[in-house]
Amino acid sequence: MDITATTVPRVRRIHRGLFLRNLLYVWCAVVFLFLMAPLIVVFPISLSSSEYLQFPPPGWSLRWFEAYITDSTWIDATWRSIKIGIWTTLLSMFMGTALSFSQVRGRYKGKSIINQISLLPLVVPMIVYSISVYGLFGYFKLIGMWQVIVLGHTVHAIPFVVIIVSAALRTFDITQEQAAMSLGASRATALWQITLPQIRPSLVSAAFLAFISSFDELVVAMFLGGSNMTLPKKMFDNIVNEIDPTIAAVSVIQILLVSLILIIVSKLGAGATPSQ
Amino acid sequence: MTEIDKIKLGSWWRRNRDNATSMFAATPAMLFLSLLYLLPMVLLLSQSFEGSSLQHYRKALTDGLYVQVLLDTLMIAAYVCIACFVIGYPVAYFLSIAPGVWSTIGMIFVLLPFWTSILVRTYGWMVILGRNGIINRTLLHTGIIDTPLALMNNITGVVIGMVHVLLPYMIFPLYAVMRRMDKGLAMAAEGLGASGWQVFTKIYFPLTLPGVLAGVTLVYVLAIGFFITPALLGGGKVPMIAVLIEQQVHTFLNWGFASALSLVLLTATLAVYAVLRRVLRGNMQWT
Amino acid sequence: MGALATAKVMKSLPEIALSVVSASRRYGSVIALDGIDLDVRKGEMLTLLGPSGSGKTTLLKVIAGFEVPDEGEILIDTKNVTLTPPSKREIGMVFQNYALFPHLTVSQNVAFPLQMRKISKFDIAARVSQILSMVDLAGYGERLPRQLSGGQQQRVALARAIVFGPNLLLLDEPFGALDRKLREQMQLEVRRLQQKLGLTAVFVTHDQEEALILSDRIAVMDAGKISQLDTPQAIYHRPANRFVADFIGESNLFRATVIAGGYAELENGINVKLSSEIPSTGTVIGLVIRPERLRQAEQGSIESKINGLITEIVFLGETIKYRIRDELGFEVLVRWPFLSNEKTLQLGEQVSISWNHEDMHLVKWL
Repeated sequence: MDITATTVPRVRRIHRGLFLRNLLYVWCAVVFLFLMAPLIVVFPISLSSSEYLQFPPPGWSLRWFEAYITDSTWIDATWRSIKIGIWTTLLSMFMGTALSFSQVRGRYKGKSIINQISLLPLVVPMIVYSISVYGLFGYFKLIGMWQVIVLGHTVHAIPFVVIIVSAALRTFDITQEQAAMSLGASRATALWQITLPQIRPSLVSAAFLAFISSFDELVVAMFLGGSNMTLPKKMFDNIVNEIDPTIAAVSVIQILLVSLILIIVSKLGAGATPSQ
Repeated sequence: MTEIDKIKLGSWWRRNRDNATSMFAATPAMLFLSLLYLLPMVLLLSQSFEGSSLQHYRKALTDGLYVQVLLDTLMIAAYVCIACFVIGYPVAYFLSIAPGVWSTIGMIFVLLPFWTSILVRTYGWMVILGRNGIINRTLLHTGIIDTPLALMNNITGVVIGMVHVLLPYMIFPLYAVMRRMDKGLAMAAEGLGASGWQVFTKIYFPLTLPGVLAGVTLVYVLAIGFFITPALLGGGKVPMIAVLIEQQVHTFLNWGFASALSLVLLTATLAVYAVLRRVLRGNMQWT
Repeated sequence: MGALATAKVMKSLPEIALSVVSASRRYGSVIALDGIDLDVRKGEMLTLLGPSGSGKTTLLKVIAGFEVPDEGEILIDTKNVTLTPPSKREIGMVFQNYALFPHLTVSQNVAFPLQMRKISKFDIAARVSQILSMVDLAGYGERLPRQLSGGQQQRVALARAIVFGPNLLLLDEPFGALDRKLREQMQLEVRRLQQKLGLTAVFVTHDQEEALILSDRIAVMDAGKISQLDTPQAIYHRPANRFVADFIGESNLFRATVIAGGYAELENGINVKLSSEIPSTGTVIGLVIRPERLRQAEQGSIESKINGLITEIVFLGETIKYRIRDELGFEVLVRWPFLSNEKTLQLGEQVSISWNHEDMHLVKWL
């Protein structure tokens, strides 16, 4: 067989392969830019000296950061969101982790129905849920209390916790628990000393996800918060009413905070188990 | 009790103790979800039949205005879904084949926006797309256009904003499937004489179908119920159904009608979910 | 109730470390254990041997306490532990995948059972270092499991299982993941340790060679029942039935019919003399003879039982296996030491085989 007959098409194929590969890289670069664009954009706006949305900013100033920190309504809203977020995390982690163990280890009738129910909040649109609890809590005149927002947020955080923790439990080697028990540990001791430390990265991820889902949540907070606003609600009002670029400063703070937490979480997660 | 009975009881308990504990562990969550999730939904259902009449449903489903809103919602969600798929598929592929460092960097580009508040992101888009926004000012400044482009307060803006939010939800399921793909299959196909295009259409793409359908389902179902992005980037001119519902509650105080609309939305969501899941299961007989 | 009490009295003999009494376990319609009775003597190494699905792992789990039998009892050192959880049975278990705690060091792993028993830190440190020396891992205390080789991990698992002086050592196919040489090494080490410490051990495996090497006694299991419980030699030379004969080693199994005068007729027409326990005439029986028990006979001599051609040769280093087939299609397998290239037979060569009738073992054919 003539060698050139096979090498020529091969060379063409290699060129085409390279072309497609470069095309892929360009495509991804553009998409990554697209994804980061709105995040990048808020930075200069937050440092703008102008009261209006001007780009490029006429001058630089930290006034909007000052405005955020000195404005008690902003700070109140922030603390309220943090408080709600922490409670949501605690409740959903407790119930969700217990539920995960039940799902992965247990064998009983109705297990799959319970699984469906626990994942239902993911499917149903937030607006539908918000209306439904608005009716319920409105009837009991509980609108405006931060505790009911915690309840609403916890409902939506539980599915996330269940998905993440169940996945970790399923891949966990159960013979280790059995080994611990054969060596004299009660089931509770085995869980505490052997299992939980090893699923810690997933527990941390789940907690993070639960917190963020509450901290950033707008719709439920909008309906149940009344005049006591959470941070997202205040941000929403601010945007709708186009008041001033304080919202940009808040956005920057949020982005930095999220990045920081992501770094902390990945360090915490990585340190837990030596990867094998 | 005879000794045999005692032993039998003890044996039953020892064998079922673990399962009993498991059931017990599920109780807090189940109680919580029943009271705070299932119960309100049931109440919502009863609310929509205000005075045991179907008037709200009749209005929601027959009044041309509202039917149009529903259809628009479904359509916009479809645009968003298709856009996410076309844009996201290559990105997921890249992430699945890129060597360690690059794949981590790429993931950061996807994860960071994903974790950032939707409000922050939507605000950022308002800054970019507005009449005085970055795009328009740059284009006007360089003389490429004379009048500002209407990139906001219309479907375009809403779609861009929604695609930005929902893209990670398309990328993650695709990435998960692609990552587990046996790279040897493409080589085997090539060795058997398949051209690059054939390898893609006959081997690679079909094997990514589970991820495709997971991503498409997730994005579409989420898109239908979207509130924040259409509300802010639509400027009141893009009525998606969630925006409409909020309006009915807070502006028109029409509680019963809002409930009916919510249930129409819920039904549509569940229907889409069920249909797509059926398609998903039907297509994947080899798994 | 009387029968159970009597059984209990009988089982309280001090030489019996473990008693399984009529244990049964079902999973739906699958019978995993079918009325198992088993006594393990103090200080002995008893192997549960069988193919997958035979129930050997289930039996081990029942002994350990991870499964509770539907019927029957487990007695460890004369105490009824059927309903006791595994953590209180004072057993040491080595798992198939070692189940070492990856987030703890070797020392911490080994110290774990001692911590569970609330032993003082000082004593723990002493015992841990003592046991690590015993398994040749002195100085490895601060390493993490993932930093150790397979064989080393195995030894940590073993150390962890015996450091607290259990009544019973249970091993669930622990050598499966090791390569051949390492496996042989570990087999001998475990055996040595078990004998030195006088530990009673129950070992589960599907590898019959391993069972023959390690055990004081073997319980061959098949479909939830014990087919034969005996010493390795007895099982090898006098298998109780076809299943055991087939499972243990390679053997020739001939179908024969009993004829008058204490003889049986093989399928190729040759008559062979039967030794003890001759069943009634006309019974179909199985005759088992191990390949190394056959010898080459003079061509055409009276004692030759099979005359055939060599159809297959397998070289095994120390030995050679030949498969010989006569004109009627009757086949026999022989295994002889490899002496030299000249003495080796060739394919297609004509050869005569005979054997001593005492080397034949009778089993039921059904």
